[in-house]
Amino acid sequence: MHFRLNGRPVESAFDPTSPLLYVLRDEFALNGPKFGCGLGECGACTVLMDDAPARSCQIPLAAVQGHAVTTLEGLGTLEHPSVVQQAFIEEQAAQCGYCINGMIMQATGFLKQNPHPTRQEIIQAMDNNMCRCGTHLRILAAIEKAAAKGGV
Amino acid sequence: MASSPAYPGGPEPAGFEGPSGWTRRQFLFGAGALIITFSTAANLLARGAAAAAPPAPAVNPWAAPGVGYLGNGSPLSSWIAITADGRILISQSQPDVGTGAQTGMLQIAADELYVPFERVSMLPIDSSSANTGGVGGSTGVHRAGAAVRLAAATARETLRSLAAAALGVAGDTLVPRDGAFHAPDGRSVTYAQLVAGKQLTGNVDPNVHLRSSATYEVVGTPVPRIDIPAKLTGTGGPTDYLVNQRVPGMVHARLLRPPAYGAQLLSYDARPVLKMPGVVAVVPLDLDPEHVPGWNTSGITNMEMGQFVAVVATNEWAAIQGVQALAKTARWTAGEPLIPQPASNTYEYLATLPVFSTQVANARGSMVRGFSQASRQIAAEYSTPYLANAPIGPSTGMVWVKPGEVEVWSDSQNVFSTQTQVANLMGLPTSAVTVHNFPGSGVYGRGWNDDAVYEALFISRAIGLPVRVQWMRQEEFQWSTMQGPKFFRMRGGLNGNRVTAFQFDVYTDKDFGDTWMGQNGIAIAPLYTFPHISQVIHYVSNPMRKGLLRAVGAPSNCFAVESFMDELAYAAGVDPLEFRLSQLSDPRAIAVLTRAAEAAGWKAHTKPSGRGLGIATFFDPGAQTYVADVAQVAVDKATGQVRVERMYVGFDCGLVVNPNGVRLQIEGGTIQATSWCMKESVRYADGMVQTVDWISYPILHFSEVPEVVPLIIDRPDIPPGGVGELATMPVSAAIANAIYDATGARIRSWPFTPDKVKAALAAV
Ligand code: FES
Ligand code: FES
Repeated sequence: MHFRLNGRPVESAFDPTSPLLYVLRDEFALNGPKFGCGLGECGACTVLMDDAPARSCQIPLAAVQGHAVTTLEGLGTLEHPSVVQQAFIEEQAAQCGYCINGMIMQATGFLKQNPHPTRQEIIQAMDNNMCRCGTHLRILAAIEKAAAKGGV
Repeated sequence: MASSPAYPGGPEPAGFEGPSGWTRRQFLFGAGALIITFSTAANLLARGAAAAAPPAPAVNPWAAPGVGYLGNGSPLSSWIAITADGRILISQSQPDVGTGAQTGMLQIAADELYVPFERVSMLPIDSSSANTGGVGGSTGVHRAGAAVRLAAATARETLRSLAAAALGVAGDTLVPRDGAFHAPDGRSVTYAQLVAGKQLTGNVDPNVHLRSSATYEVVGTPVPRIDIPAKLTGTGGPTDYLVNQRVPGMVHARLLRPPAYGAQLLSYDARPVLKMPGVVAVVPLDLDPEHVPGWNTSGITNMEMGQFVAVVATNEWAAIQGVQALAKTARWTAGEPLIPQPASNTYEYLATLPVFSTQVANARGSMVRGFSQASRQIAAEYSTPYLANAPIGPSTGMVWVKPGEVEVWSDSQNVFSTQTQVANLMGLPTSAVTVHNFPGSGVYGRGWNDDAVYEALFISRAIGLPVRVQWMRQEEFQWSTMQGPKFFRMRGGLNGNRVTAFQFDVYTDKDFGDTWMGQNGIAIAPLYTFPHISQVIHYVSNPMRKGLLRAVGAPSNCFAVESFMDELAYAAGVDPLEFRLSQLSDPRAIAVLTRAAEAAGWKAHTKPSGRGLGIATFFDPGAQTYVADVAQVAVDKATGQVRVERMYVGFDCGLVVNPNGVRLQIEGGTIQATSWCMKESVRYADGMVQTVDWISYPILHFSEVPEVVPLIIDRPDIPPGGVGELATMPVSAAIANAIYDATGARIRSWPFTPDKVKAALAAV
């Protein structure tokens, strides 16, 4: 399978039925997308597929042929975080942080589609991303901050 | 050894590079760059002593919570080291489970050593770390932080003596500033210059002079957490999550588990699975020591027993598919019959089971006298169900069994118990077992059971490769430890507006989790000035596998106690806030209640309007922290739907080391506990847990999260108390009391589901 991964063309030799999550983690050794449920219920594995948030545990590798996949690593770096990552850091929007890959990816995709959301729209967009630590209020504040800065 | 490479021939120095840029290997072996070494052997001795010896009496209350970790003498060099360029490396063993406790500890170290925060860093945690135990019980800053404070202060005073000798002046004329000692004549010498070529010797001094809290510069400021930027950018590396640790040659295992508790494996066919691409091995696991020679489980608490089959593969998807294929061939016996779960999901039946022991958690005065002084008696019963820890990331562990030694990669809450237990299982000395600790998903107590590590150990022992086990979502819900249910019988005697007798009986399991409950049980009543109190725990035996969940039973105890306080207040015809305040004498308890009530605009409603406020409070004598909640709710009387709109949290944990950290723990604890009591309960039937995912075991969603208003009372003159678990305690009682205030309906069991609220409304 050929697709673009974080801006670069790549080729995967994995089983085309494999969910994209395991391809990203095991073949490309990426750290952002996390296994949470493998059921599409929690959001921990979220990536962007052609700029839209997608749950990588639910997408077979075959379905990404020809598409562009972006992971947390593709947004920004420790030195140059993306606007959304920077907002999460400033708001200290993480406890264990295990869910936060999904939160940042979901928020990034959402803000690309709706750059000036209301708080209610943000809540709706994030409602099916699970967090056990109760970091929700910080996550909402971070997304509002990123939106106010007008970027992703 | 902690200093060995991650794998033979691997890039070992980088494998243990700390946040400071210094590697563990350089650190331990000098490499010409480092001056002080950790004395691992002495540290091991100290660890044994710390476990065995009672805490020595300490004069200074700021030091007292940490003294227990020093045993009969703990070498300074195992706690603290100074690099040639003046950076300070701290060692301690409590993993940061997302509370920011390590950042707080480093703030303390920076202040005691008079250096900027940027100059201190924490070494990665492994089985050679200085022993501050495991993480739990809100002890991070409170206890481990106090030990770090002692170590840092001892280092400062040791450096002062060296500086005095170097400059030829009296030590007490020297002023520490910015990593150097300054003499009155203007000369100065840096810490790095002082230790060059020498080792700091001596033990951490439990009576060392501590810096006055009034002069702290770093403590008390909202220093950003050290771990957040890397976690949010997916940087990988040795300080990243356990799940991101990859060892070349590592294989992935997934497990086939029984379809019901107690089901025995009759047969399976590995042949078709072994033909699948990527599959390396199929390994039957039997964790029962009676079946496995050399597998010694003695001394291991709450190990999961049973028979499983592991499919080992080069990648995760192959292992997952292998398990699915294997399941089709496996035959099992029927499981063990379980006590059926009550349809009501309340647990009155616990009081009908044989009680095999009782524990008096708290006793004051006499129940006979207390009730004889009462003009009225009130009684009520409460219950809480099975709860899942339900971490977002399921259990993971990685183990490599090599000839004569074992290397473990784990997110366990206690590296030393993981090390001891792995050594026990393998019949090896602990020195042959190295445990590396990494951040994990927030598991809230689950991390005291190393299931995935034991499983990876068993598999690696069979195949000799580094084996990574990760549980699937359903396994985490079905096979993890969980918090057991509880049933409470409360009885109170009232005379006018005073409580004369307060009787609390709880029926619960005596399993790993609940043996700790006595301590938390004590935490509830004594603050009230009731003359007669009895709190008794009745231990029964009940199905399912129990373990620790954040705050270990105290939130459910507090639910019963503080709901009942409300019932007593209404019976006495007194405002619930007034009722509490009038029977408290501790000014800190009064202050948190008053603060929360004022912020919420406290006013108990006389006529139910569908909107209401409820109050509840808690004091933890172990953590030395006070908390009081006012919940604001809106109840839709037609549907029974409760919306928790806002939680006001009065909070006094003494000196606030990091205001942002404390705020975040208040937010997180409050939201998590709201989730427990509003939504959660493990359901089982047919010998197996039936709540297996986020649909059948829902937790709070964004749209259901209350606004949280932290109201922190900073007390710079009181040593820092515990924080991590505290905010969870009064939440459910405050919400239940608010539902009563809003509707007149009293809810006496978790979760407060619409059906239950509707039924209670119908009975009003
Ligand atoms: S892991 Fe993909 S949604 Fe949970
Ligand atoms: S921060 Fe721990 S799960 Fe969200």
